[in-house]
Amino acid sequence: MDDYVITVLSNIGMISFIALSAYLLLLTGEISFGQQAYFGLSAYAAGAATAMFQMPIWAGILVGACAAGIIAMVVGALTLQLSGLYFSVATLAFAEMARLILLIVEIQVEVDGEMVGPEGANGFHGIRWMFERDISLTEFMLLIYGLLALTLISLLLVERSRLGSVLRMLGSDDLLAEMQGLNTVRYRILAVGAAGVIAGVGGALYAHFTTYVEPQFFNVMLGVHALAYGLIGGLGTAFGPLIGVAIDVGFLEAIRFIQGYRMIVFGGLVAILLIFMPRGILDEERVHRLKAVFSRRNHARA
Amino acid sequence: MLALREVEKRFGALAALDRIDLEVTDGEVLGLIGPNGSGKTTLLNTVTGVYPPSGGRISFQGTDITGWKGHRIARLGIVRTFQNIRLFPTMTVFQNVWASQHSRVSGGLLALLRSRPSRRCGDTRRVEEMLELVGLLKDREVLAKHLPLPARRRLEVARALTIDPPLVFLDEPAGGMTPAETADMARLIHEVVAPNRTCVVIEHKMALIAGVCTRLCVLDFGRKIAEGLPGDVLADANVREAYLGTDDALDA
Repeated sequence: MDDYVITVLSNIGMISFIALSAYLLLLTGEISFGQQAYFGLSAYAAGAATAMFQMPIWAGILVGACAAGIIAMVVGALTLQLSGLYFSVATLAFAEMARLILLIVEIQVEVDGEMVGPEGANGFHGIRWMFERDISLTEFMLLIYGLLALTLISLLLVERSRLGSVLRMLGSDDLLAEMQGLNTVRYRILAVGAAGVIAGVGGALYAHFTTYVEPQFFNVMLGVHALAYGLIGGLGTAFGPLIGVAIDVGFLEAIRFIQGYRMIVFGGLVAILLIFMPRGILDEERVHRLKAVFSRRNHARA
Repeated sequence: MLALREVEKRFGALAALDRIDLEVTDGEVLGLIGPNGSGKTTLLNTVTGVYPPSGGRISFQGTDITGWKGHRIARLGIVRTFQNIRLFPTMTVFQNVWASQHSRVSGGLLALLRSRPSRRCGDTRRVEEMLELVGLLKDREVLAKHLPLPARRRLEVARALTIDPPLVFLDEPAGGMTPAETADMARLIHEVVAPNRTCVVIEHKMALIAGVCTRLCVLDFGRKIAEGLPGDVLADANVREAYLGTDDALDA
């Protein structure tokens, strides 16, 4: 595989984390325009851990993901009293606030005679874990997909369990969930925290893949895309948002003659899907039908 | 079992419930009747914690539950169905009933994660028993939104009974049903819902009220205007007056 293909595949993998993060919240009925903040904050935190404090990468990812999860839960506890559009606007406001803070944060430490750390608007250079350890692009891609598989499997297991059912209940009918004895606010905060962790893992990987992060990358367009992936691919299964990412970053990026028009095509695709398939390609009903087909086949074989 | 003392619910200037005193006794089937807008569903919503009362006290089995959140009240064992039917439309019949057990799973998040519908266990058998009771076992893998209306009402009943609650509220369980379907629902309430528990039925259909209720309470404009045995209450002049002043509304 040439480097271009590996880079595209790695991007698909890393963006998938934020897509899954937004998807988890869409399941519970919350539309967050702020998941890019957790991706970005974790990228900075993880980058700081490895580049400034010489931690190993797994510790960096852990630091980033935990920081993102904790901040997400705090923000969630403050904003989840708001419903619907108000919540969405609050998440957007928080994300912009986080980005603006990253624009002014300058903390540098000396590492091997060089100054490393976030430099405000100039970004955070020198997250060189990959070069220092001589890790190839292919190896890093495998790390991305390993963690993505782990995240996806966890989400699929959650979806089959009572916990997944609780999350879908919140998204489907909040009052009914409450009337069945579920503390809806508590489960929402849990979902927001988990979504923060997932976005955080993606952000931590991103920082180490590009070796350089800047606040501008974590602008609202990233969050909007994250939402669109789930809405395109479908909210019936965790595979849905991955299909959304593959369509956008994979398919549209790969077709060179629409380069430059990609956003127009993508926007049109979102609009058409929202009209004809409001809950995406793999929505709950199609997933249910697919499952029925598979279980019938298994019965036939047995 | 359930006691309301001077319970009030105001929406702005409108008193939807005006100092209601009501005692629901153990084991009875109380019919809550009254014209449209008389406050029946408001009373149910106030008791189940959809919104807090504006005044008065509500207690359940000796516990003061005034102002409690809905999920806490539900966990005490007050379960309800809905006038306009609330199900999770994109979940299957089985999943809808299974979902009512979530709050009863002990052991925190890990237990919630470990429990799956595919596992054969007491919980899944209980769900199947309930579906069998209401005649929906054959439809267990059908999405709730694809069920016809009477089946949806029966599904709500199955869901309400799964955790074996001491008190069940049925909000117009025969709403939108034909006379034959109403008779089926009356039988279901009489044979399955009422035994071993206390039940409050909100209903307009006299066929159902007369068939299942042991006592009636009549609301009009948010006030309790009559209470007593079904025969006495339905003969009461005030009650007949409340139903548009016509005799035929009650005979229908």
